[in-house]
Amino acid sequence: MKISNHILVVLAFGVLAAFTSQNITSNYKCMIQLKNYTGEGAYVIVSILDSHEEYSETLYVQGEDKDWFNEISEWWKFYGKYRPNLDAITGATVSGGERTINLIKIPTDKIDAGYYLRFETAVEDQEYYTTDLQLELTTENLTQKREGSGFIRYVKMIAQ
Amino acid sequence: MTVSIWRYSHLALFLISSLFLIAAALSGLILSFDPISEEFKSEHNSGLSEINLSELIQSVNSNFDETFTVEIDDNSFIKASIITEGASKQVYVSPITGKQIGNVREKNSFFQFVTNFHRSLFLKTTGRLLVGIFSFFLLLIALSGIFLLAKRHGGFRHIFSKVHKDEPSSYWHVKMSRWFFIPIVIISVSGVFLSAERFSLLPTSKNDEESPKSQWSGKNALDLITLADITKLEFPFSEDEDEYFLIDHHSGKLKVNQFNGEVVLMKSFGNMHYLTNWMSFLHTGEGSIIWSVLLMLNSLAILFFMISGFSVFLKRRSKSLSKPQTQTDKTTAEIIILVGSESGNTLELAHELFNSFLANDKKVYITGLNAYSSYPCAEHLIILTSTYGNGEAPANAGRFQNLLKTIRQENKLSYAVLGLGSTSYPNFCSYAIEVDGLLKRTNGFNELLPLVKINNQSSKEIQKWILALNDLFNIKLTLPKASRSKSTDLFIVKERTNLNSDDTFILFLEPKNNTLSFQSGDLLEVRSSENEAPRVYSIAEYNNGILLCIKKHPFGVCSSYLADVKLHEEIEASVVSNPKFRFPTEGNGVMCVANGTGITPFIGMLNETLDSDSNYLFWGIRTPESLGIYSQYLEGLMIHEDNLFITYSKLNKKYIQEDVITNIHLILALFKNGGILMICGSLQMKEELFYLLEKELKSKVNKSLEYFISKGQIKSDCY
Repeated sequence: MKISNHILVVLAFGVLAAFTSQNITSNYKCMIQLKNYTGEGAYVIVSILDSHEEYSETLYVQGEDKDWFNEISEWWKFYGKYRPNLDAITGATVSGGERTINLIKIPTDKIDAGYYLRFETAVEDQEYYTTDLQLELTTENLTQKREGSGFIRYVKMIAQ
Repeated sequence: MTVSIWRYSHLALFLISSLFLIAAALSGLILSFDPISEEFKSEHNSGLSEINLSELIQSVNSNFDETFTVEIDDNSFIKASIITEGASKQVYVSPITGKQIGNVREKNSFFQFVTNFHRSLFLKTTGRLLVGIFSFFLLLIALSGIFLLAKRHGGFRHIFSKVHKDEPSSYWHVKMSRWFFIPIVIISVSGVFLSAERFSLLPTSKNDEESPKSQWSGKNALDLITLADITKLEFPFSEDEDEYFLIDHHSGKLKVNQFNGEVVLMKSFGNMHYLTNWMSFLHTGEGSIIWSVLLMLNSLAILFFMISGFSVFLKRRSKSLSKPQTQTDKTTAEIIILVGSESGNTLELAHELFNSFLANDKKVYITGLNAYSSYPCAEHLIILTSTYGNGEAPANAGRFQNLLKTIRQENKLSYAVLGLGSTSYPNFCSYAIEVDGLLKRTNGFNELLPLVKINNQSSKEIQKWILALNDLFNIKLTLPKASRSKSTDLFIVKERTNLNSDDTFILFLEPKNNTLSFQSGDLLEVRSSENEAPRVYSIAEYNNGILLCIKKHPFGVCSSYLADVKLHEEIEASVVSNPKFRFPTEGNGVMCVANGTGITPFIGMLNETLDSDSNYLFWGIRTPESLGIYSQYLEGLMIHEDNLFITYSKLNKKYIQEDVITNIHLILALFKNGGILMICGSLQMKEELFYLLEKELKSKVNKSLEYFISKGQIKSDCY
């Protein structure tokens, strides 16, 4: 009886914690500046990965044509299984040399908690960069200009 | 030869790309409604040129937490990407207040789906490549089509000349192609261009130059540039010194200092940028309702061309496949029929003739002109040929001239040439004339019948030629085509005259069915018995009945039959409408020229007209005595006596055509006033008159006879 009460309390806290952790997010303005390549607009996926570099959450998808999602193969392994609705965090692709600015909502409890922020990019009939840019999800990293290794020239973020 | 290459490629390209083209045309048709529906969705923002960027920046910043970009689309909607209440959103804003006036809806997912299909057939890169290639094929189809059109009309200059009446699918295919050629070229070229751009096949313009200089140097560009000048404005990411306003201005991309509005860098657009924008506009019609509607019509037209073109192809194929079953061996045949046919019409007639010879137990062989060879038992050579384009040989006749030179026949052959064509083309039957001339100049050939030229498959003219063959071979050829005529009506002979000195007589017939409609100038097909080919006569509508003037030919079955018809007897016949030979309704004057029984339609026409002063009648007849039988019917003729010219060919030793030419000034005045020359009577009279008239018109007004024929100012009905 006592034990079960404890369990209930723990469960209740756990649910509350899970509830709160899902809802408390920090807004960041994120600018992605692409390199001057020629061809179609680039698909960019921004995800959070856990300490084992397993996908944990999709923050932003740049690219509206779902037919191409499976070409972004690493992320597709995570997303493709359940395919939750992404409409709220989807934007149009931009071409080489252009930039986009978006609001991304990062769960506050994942900042400075050993998670990673990954930017992966792909362009139709061109390369796919799994880790065009990957950084540790730390408060410090979120305020710096970081250079990409694929189609991304740099990413800049600011707390909103 | 060249014609067949164009036609072959026109057809082959169509067959290869037909499925794709149907898909593209249908999806394109649907997509053309996208800009149209956009256009109707909301009101346009006008006065964008009144508002400068500083004003807009201020007004949006005061309304939203943060603004990332502002875009002005083809429909002048202002779309902003903003943050409000902690969430990012795409909204439409008012250019004046900067307030949100609506949410940006997702582009209609249906149109997006169709766009995707139209671009790549859901086959991604492969699909895009295919779409590009087939767009190029569409261009080739259009080009080969225009070459065929030019060939058909005898040169590019004549592309817009009148289209010869044909089967509806063929007629409209040709007629519409003249209007849709250019739009189709535009649509295919822009399609190819956009595909090439997608695959980076286009040269990148070198003249994208970057420079700190611009027309706004030293000024606050944000105050000077208005919303009408830009397509996109990107706000600085932060308030850092190195963050700028980025502007897509019509002349290039600008980087503007966010604090003082100075242009830091300007990257001018190269020509390729403008070209791409134009091509994209031409292909999608975005922003222009008129062009979208045109694109929609164009999609429909492509579908129409495919269907009509394919039906023309099927018809030709079935015509060329319907070979006669019981072909005599060419080594034993006595009569050889050679055919030169482009569209298959001539071939059809030739097959009917062939079958008709067979039915008369003649040993007959039929083949194309190009298959001409030696025929050991042959005695007669009958050639039926059309003409292609500018007087060229039709598709299956190009080698005949050379074959004729090299092949020796054992017997002396007697030949008859029948040319089929249309006087609405400048080179009427000119290939038949050439073939007739070739045979005339070649040893071993005798003329059986002089060359006969048939206008527009006139069954009347063909019948006459068949009758001549009947006389020569002493057989009874009939043409199934003619016996296929529509249902007949019964007519009662109400009046009739005796034969005059020229063996001519007049019948007045009343239709038993009083709802039957006919007009002066229409034709009456009469057949003396079931098996007989019908004869065709021009009629006058006279006192609600039909007036026929007939010359009895000594061996003419039908005219002999009619000459013996008694008063109140019934005869069976059918009226054939002849709209090309109608008296005009506007009274700009008409000159009627007739010889012999050719007067018939004019008796009806000039009876009905009210205006006697502006019309003329020239009539050639043998002797004054010949007139007797006509007199009672001529009484009601509304013609001023000064305008009536009768030439007695026997008495005056002069033909009517010469009399007409003596009065050429009347014709010139008539043509000037928009009047019409109508000719009815013998073919020989018409040809001589045309010959004389051509010379006169050339020297007096420097215009060709053809010019007036094509304007509908010369009409003829001769046989």
